[in-house]
Amino acid sequence: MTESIDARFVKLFPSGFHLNCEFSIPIQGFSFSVLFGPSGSGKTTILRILAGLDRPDEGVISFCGEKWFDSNQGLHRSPQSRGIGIVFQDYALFPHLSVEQNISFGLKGISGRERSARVNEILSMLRLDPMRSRFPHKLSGGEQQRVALARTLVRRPRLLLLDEPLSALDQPTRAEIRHELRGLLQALDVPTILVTHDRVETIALAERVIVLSGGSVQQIGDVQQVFNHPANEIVAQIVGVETVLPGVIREIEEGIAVVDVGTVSLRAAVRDSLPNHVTVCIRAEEVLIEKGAQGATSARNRFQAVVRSIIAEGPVYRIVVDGGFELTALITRHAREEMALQEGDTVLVVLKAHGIHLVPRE
Amino acid sequence: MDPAALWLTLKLACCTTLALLFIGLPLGYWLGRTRWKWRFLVEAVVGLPLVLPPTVVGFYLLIATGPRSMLGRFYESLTGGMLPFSFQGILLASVLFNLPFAVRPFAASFASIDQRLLEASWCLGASHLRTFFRIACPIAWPGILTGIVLTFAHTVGEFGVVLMMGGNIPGVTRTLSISIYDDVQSLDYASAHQTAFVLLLFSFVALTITYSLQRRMVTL
Repeated sequence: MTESIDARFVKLFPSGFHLNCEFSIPIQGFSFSVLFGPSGSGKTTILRILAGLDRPDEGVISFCGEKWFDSNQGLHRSPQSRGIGIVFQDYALFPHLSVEQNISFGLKGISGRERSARVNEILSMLRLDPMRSRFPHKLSGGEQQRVALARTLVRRPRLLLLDEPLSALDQPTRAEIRHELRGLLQALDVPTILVTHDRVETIALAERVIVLSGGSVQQIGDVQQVFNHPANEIVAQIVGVETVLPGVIREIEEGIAVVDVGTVSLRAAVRDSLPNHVTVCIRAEEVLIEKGAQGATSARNRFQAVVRSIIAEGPVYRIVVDGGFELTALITRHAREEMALQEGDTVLVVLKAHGIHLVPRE
Repeated sequence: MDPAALWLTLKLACCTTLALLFIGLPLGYWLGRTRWKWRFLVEAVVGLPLVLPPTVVGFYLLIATGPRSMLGRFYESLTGGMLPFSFQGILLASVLFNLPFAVRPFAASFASIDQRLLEASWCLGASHLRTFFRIACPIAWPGILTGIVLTFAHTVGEFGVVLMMGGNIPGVTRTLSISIYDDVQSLDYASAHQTAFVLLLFSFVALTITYSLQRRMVTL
């Protein structure tokens, strides 16, 4: 029997939106997968389909060999019988039940003693003991989120689905809970699928990421793999690579390609065989900016450029330079002050061959 | 005031309200949550008594349950009695005539429940029935209570449809509002005053409760 959730389905919406998905996620004890994509990419619908709340028009979904949905057989297992847990974006706590009643709501068919033991266990695990008799509207956002988690986890779900669980929280709480969440789910050994459009959240939480755009899966893989080596232009844009430009490969020699981008020729490291037409992806973190005369360097790309704009973003500056094509760089406040960098300045752009990622262009 | 009429009126109002809880709650839940495109047809039928003259409802009911009708014969074979001019008859009439007063507030209240709450309940393993009783009804209770108060109060004041269906039989079908009509006919203004004042006071209290509940529902 395969220990995985295998899904292949199509769902059409009256608006004309077309959700067409195929993916397989291993389910073996704790694992954290993220459905990542911009809003409107269909990720929440996929989660609802996995929960049994929405029904695809066509396809098959199976969980560890157990059929959940099969359009050919007219099979659709109800949310009640899937043994999963879901936490909604707005938590959906029952407003008329106390914290304790919310948590014990889903525990049926077990003895009263075991029930209260399990409720107590999860209450203390999530530090909810002091507020067990309070009602949801008396809780902070972070506390509500913990109650929603507790209510689901107390049933020991076979799979946990989280729909942007941190988006309703303020920034400091979010960072704190993010850290806590992974540890908790790991301790409870629950396979988890989380939906988000937040890059930081994805990188911090996930092992595996499924990138969605326009209702279809663009790339599945290890987080580092996907973020550093996007499979195509769409993924590069979604995962937030700042510079994404078309380029033409002139020649490839000893694993280094010479690519024409705008009026500049760049040298980029190549790992796989590529067509001549490629998309050039450059992360802002990989771009170095120098001012004044410089000596020899190991970096393969050096060219002059003019600073077009300087935008402060918290502790860093986002610099857009133009040296035949537009390129974004990130530098620290300190670096900017040291270089006395102003718009209109001429600078030297330095790029390592390994900092440039080439993907085939469709 | 006629004590037999008072007792009968209270009995009729209680039975009507109870019957409408059984019929109206599921119907209201369905109307409030369904996305069926022909739903408005059902809404129109439920709302009919709001615009129809009571005499029209009473007339059709009388025809439909008369001794020569199918329903009338079926009822007679079952119980040996007749629906028109009996307590069961006016109960049926008043249940039908009060349908909108119960179902509309029920449906509005159920419709305002966040769908996520019901979905969360299903995903926690609760059946549709358990979700209805443990989640939907408690959350919709201000609307349900409004429906109960309105139905009860409206039944207490019901005149036309009860007169058409039940006539004016003391202790059997003569309710308070019919006894006022009777009193005025026989020029017993003192008794009519008494009964009318009691009904006025009662209606005012009922509406006060309803509106205060609705206000609480809005601020919830």
